[in-house]
Amino acid sequence: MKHPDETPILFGPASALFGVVTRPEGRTEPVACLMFNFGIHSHIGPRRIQVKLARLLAAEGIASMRFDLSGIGESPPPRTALPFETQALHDLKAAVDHIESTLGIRQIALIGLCSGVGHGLRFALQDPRIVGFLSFDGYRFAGSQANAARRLQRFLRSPWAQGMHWAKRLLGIAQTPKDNMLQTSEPKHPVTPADFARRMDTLVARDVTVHLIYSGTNQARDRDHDQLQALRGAPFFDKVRYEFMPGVDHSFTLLAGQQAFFEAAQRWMQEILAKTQAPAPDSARRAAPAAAPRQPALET
Amino acid sequence: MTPLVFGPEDRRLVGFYHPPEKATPKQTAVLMCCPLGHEATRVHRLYRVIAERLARQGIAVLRFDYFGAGDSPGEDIDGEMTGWCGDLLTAHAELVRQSSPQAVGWIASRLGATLAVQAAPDAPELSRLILWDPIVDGAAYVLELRVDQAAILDLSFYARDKSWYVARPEKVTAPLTEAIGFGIGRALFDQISQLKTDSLTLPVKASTLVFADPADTRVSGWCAAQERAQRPVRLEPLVHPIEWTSDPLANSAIVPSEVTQRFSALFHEAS
Repeated sequence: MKHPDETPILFGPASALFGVVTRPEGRTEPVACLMFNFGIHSHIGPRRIQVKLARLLAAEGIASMRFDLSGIGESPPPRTALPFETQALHDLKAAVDHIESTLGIRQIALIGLCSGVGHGLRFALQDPRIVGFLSFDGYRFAGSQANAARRLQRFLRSPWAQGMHWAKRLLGIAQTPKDNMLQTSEPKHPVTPADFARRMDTLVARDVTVHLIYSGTNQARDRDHDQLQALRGAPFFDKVRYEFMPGVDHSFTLLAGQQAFFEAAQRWMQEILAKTQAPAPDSARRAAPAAAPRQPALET
Repeated sequence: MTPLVFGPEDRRLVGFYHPPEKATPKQTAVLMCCPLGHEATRVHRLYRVIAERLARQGIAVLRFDYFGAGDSPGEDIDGEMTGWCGDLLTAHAELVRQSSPQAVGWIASRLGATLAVQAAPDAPELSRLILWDPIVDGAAYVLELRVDQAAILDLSFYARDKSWYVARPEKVTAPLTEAIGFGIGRALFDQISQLKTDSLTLPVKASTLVFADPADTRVSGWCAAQERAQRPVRLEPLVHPIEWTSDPLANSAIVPSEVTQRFSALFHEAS
């Protein structure tokens, strides 16, 4: 694969944020991909997957940017005293503004990995330039049946360790883990299934291409959209792509798992590109503004 | 911090230069050499914090990604030790070009420390080598990577799948093709496998300080052999909570103070 043009940059207020812009050779598609942090991993992503994905997308004519939120990776802490969640929204807006001003691309496909899903979803709801949203191991509402199966599987794997764990739980020594991974990082504003459904409805109404991916770290099997069991039958359900990837772990430890994820992300991008060439459905025309504002205000 | 792209056209490297933050900068500059694959991800934040602290002391610092690693061009499997030694020297030259120091020190960890030992004889201006948990026994390192990869996968998945589950990873002899999310090319595997303590000789011209766990008898044995060979080396115990193969998560050690303090103080002393 020919190496694309990759440029490390400083951007945003006071040029403090760090990112890398990857431009394809030749024709560039009208949608760019934006990637940011997975927990406190730097912009390269866990196991360097965001570098690898950027280059694969460039080979398909898709420009991308991977960057660090304030205080993570190469970006210094912000000079303002905003809460981290609010600052993340400002940082994401700065990244999208940068793509728009330097590449002239106004349609962005946003990838959120783990904790990045929370920031990404909040931003996608506010900024009409987001036309695609990929969530990896984000909000999960598995319900009691799926969780019982998960616990049983865990117990069968390590009966002694799990037995001790449950004994501690019953004695009140150990805390009850949250069903939803993101609840641990969003304790003040936990997202309920109803909240999540409303947010999905909003994105779907805007014709945002949503892809929800869940790794095998959550559960061994997925029979019928088990990770969102509590939301089965919700109106948005058949309008988003849901994918359970049993061969991919949460940190992308296997190269085969990385490849499966890349293929899923590439399919998602192609779906978005196909939409840009097709007329928008009536529902999206009603929901979207006539023209995307150049500088959408952030609701913080 | 200034991001840089440097090196020859066919082997560009991405680096992060921290200029000295004092009006009268010190005459020493420091190059930070990353370990292999996942371990480089693991140590990223720690390296950045050390670099910032040194820059505040007036020391110019360059961090960089080898070819095929981090943001630098190249695929995982393009990485191999001969090329990486060359990258280290390219980065050294870039640091000298940026800061015009009288002396240069290298801070290097794990396989990066091994590369530093191999590249050191070809680095002019190099006066100080700081090696942290160097890999001096390649076979043992390959074994460690196999066992840790198996343990990580076992912890990551709820169901053991025959595509990845290895009951006795220590018994596997096939060439390593991947380690904790990073591809390993055959050349790199062979180079690591052939690493032995008697093939790693410290330079005479640079004083070397080795930090290692006192329980690491391979490193202490290697240091003793280097001392007997009249090499200027000193071994200091450094026990730290970093697990090199664990993920940099909120519940694991990321920037342990015992490490940052030791590394920052070193160059403070030298001034």
